[in-house]
Amino acid sequence: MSLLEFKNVSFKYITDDYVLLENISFEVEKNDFITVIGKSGCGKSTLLRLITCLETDYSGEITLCGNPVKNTHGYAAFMPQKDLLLPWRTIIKNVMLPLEAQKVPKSQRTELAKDALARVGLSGMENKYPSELSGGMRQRVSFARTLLAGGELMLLDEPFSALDSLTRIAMQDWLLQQVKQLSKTVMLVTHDIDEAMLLGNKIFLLTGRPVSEVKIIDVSHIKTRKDLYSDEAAELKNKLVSRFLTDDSGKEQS
Amino acid sequence: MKKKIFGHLPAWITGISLLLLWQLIAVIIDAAYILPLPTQIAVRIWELRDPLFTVHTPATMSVTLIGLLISIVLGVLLAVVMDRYEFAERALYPVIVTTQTVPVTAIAPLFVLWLGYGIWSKVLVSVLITFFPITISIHDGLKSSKRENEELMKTFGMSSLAIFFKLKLPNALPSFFSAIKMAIPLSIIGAAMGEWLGAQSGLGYFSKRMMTQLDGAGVFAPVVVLAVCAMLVVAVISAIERKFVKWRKEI
Repeated sequence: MSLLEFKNVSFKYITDDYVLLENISFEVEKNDFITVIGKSGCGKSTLLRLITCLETDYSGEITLCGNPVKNTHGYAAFMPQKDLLLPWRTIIKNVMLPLEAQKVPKSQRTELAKDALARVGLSGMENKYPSELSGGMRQRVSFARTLLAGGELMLLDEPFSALDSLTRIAMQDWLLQQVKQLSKTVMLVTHDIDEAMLLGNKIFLLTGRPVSEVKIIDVSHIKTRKDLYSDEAAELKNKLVSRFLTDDSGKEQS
Repeated sequence: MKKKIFGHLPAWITGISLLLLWQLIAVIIDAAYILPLPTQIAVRIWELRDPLFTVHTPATMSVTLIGLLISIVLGVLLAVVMDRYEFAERALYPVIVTTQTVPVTAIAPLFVLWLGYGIWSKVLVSVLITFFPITISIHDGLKSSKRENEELMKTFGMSSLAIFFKLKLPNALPSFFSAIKMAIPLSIIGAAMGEWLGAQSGLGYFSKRMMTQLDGAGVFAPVVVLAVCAMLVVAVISAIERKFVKWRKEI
């Protein structure tokens, strides 16, 4: 059985007068690393909002291991675009936040949080405040917090888009390593085609307006940054870019 | 420390220059019952130290602090209720704003009529003046927490009560302290105004009594004491704030 499944899901924000997602279906297998791309505003982030039950007013069915997810929280770990660290909490207290939600006994929290921080390479930073850390470090704290949020499924919403390009490259390589060690299932939303090809083993390409189809592209052969420069990868990239462009012209005509 | 003193230097220079200017003008006018010299006021404070500091300052400050306390409790309560229940917000917010269009000064004599010359008519004036800024600031502080943070906590599976205590309340703390600091001078003004209208003790009452005796310096003496009291209380609150809110610079 697949870990996560969308069955004929349609969704529209109450405040919008157009449908955002129309009748989409897809499956995510265990240990998949899915990168989701699509034009800005097409509903990539909304997809994650649906999975985390921040939006529940959809038709169709979303299931996790066969069980509908509606109105349950805390089974999928969500990492937002901004780090959203609370400035009045120290790093370790920030990382503990999901543990507090899960009502983990106090005695265990410190240990778990320390482990998570060690995993992201931030041992010794426990008692600093978020304002004392660089953007890349803050993002890693955010990742540590996501690790403790529990659940097999990690949902990352453009986690590196706010970082400068050098830090972003470093963080991408770092994330690949982390995910390999953790054996988690990941869905990562991005608007960077290179990032999508490098990190994911499958790309979910959201197409149409409203989004009515999720095209699945296998990119498991692209494993390192070097592979991005192969002819095959270049061709795929070209195809994806031109896809976006033609999609655009189609919209202009209508 | 050195830097701190130096940092306040411009303010000291301005203040002292203004006092010198005042002294100069007052000497030229030479009518102490209209405009007393700053030095005369200082002397008068010293001469009147006994009634000023043992009777009237405690009277005014107790009104101020009781008023402030009531305002804070009332303000926090209203702000929290309005934040938690949208219905309460729609029902209360416009009413609270409307109360501010009522000129408290104009109806304050009524309070004396209702509650007498004792402490409570002044407390009422003080509360009416201060509870509005406190309520609105704290309400805004609670509202100002980011929606994204709230949603993230929801995905962690946090209850809305936990979100309130872990996100909204700490987030509103700077607004809370700003509100109190803003309310202290207002509260003192309210108390003094109430005393001016009818009282048996208090700095406002004392000032009025000196007025009837055409004692210009005597009118100013309690005013100076009021100002110093306000500054002291604000300083105490600031110290408490620094202890609790170390992260304000970030937002």
